[in-house]
Amino acid sequence: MTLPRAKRRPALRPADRLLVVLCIVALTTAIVDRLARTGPLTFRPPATVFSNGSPALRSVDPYLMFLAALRDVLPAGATVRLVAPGDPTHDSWMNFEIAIGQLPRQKVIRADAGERRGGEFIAAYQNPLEGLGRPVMRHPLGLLYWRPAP
Amino acid sequence: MTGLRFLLAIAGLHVAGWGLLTLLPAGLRAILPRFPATGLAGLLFVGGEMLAFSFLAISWTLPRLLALPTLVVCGGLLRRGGSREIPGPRSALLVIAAGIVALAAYGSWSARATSADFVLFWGAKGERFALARGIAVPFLKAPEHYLMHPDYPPLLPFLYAFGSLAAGRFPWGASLLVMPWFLAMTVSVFHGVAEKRLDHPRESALLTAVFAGVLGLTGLVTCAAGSADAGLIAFETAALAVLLSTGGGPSEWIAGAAFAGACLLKLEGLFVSAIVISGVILVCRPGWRRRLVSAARLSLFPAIGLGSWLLFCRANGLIDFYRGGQIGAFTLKNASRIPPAILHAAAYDYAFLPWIALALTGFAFRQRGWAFLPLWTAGAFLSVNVYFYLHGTADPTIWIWWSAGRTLITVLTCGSLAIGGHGRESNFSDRAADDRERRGMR
Repeated sequence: MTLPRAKRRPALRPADRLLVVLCIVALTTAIVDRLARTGPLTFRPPATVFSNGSPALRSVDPYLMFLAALRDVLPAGATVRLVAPGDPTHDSWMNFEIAIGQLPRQKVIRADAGERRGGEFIAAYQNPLEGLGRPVMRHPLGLLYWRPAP
Repeated sequence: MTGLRFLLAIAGLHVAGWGLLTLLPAGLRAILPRFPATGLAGLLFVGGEMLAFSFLAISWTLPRLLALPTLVVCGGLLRRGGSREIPGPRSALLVIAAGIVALAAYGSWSARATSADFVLFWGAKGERFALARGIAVPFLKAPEHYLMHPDYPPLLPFLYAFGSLAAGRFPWGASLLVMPWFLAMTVSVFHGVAEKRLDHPRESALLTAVFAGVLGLTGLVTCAAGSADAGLIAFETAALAVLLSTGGGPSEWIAGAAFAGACLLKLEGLFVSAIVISGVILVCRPGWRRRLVSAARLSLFPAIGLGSWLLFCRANGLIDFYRGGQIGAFTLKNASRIPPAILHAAAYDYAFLPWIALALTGFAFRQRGWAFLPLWTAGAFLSVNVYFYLHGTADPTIWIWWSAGRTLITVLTCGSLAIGGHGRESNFSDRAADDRERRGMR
């Protein structure tokens, strides 16, 4: 047994249909405008997942590139200590959180985490500080040092 | 190549979901359009397996994860003769909605809409889960990883981990396409219910285009790519669409499964599920016995899904967010700051365009009326959000700017469903639904 099919109701009135079409046009225009305003309209893959984001996210772009360079150099299981620009003892929590995801095969620790016993890498983003250890990678955005265990 | 393998894994979810759906009676199988039904079912299927394996301390490998879906798909192929497809009227105007989804996909792929949370924890968790071949409990428990919310619902990290296992590593760029994948499924679900309820191909296609525009714009502006918001909206839409399409009955099991997906994707899924279920029970269903039956059908799968996850968290010392208390005590001290902050977030960069477009569309469809259940859900969910913002003594403005834009997409979705989900028959309390339930969905 099937339900009796109800009589089809009349379509939208022309004025109402026009209203709906205008809404679609406005929304589509806004989407296209949004796309045009946030980056070049090309099919070239972005450098990082933040390349065309908001200004705040775009500012993270160089850091993601630096971490990508580290990923290629660091051995799996290595310990990496992050230091922030201008300060060898601190980092930013944001940089630390981002590095956790970008260096999944390494153990990422904060600049102020525990005692510096050596046997670890030190990633100095935009921070060409001397004396952190032996430089093992020079990158336009920062340096990677190796501090051997005593 | 890594990205392609990741996307193929997602396509594989549709195959697994198809197999799972063949186990259902034909009437239940055809409630939702095939594309979203198979995708969402496949995600729940594989996600459920991953959670079960974690309970049993079985490490995730692709062959293990694919063994059961393969069996189910083979069984489905043998039963294929019994499947039933319901051909529905189609309109060429659907190409507009498809074009809007394509624009949103371009925006996601080109890193214009990447969520900060994607890099901070959603993607990182998925990647670590894949490397650990299971839920990386020591990683989640580490005090320095506290901001990753150890007990936050796991389904999106599961999806990323599954894709990573197939791809060999986590493809950060390709995984941004998960957002338009969810968006396409949501729009397809919406079109399915609008077509059924409005019973007019051109009108439902136009309404679907408006809905796609609203979701596409808000998704881009709120930077939803990579986060769980798009998935949450997909499962919420599916659950409401099932209830609106059929008016209840055994299909409530399907809606319950969709609620389970919502609860396992984001915390907000729990509130939306509770609100919809309470709406069905308190308002829409006549008779206490039927209300209790509805409550059981709608609640069972979310209770099993979320309950299992919380049990796992409890057993492994991961409970944090669900303990509550992080947002401070209730106070009206900041009440005056909430409306302007919400309005700021809701403007979506284009002078409230999504809201205006939805209101005008609702006005255009006024002769057909609006479905009650989505309106109830929208109102109650907004109230729940305001209630949470009324906690803590600190100025909530930044918190609201950060979160309200995304949570209000649920309200916009419900508003769209209120327009598209009302049509030939009234919902739930009508005789047609009662008859249908008695006959077991025909």
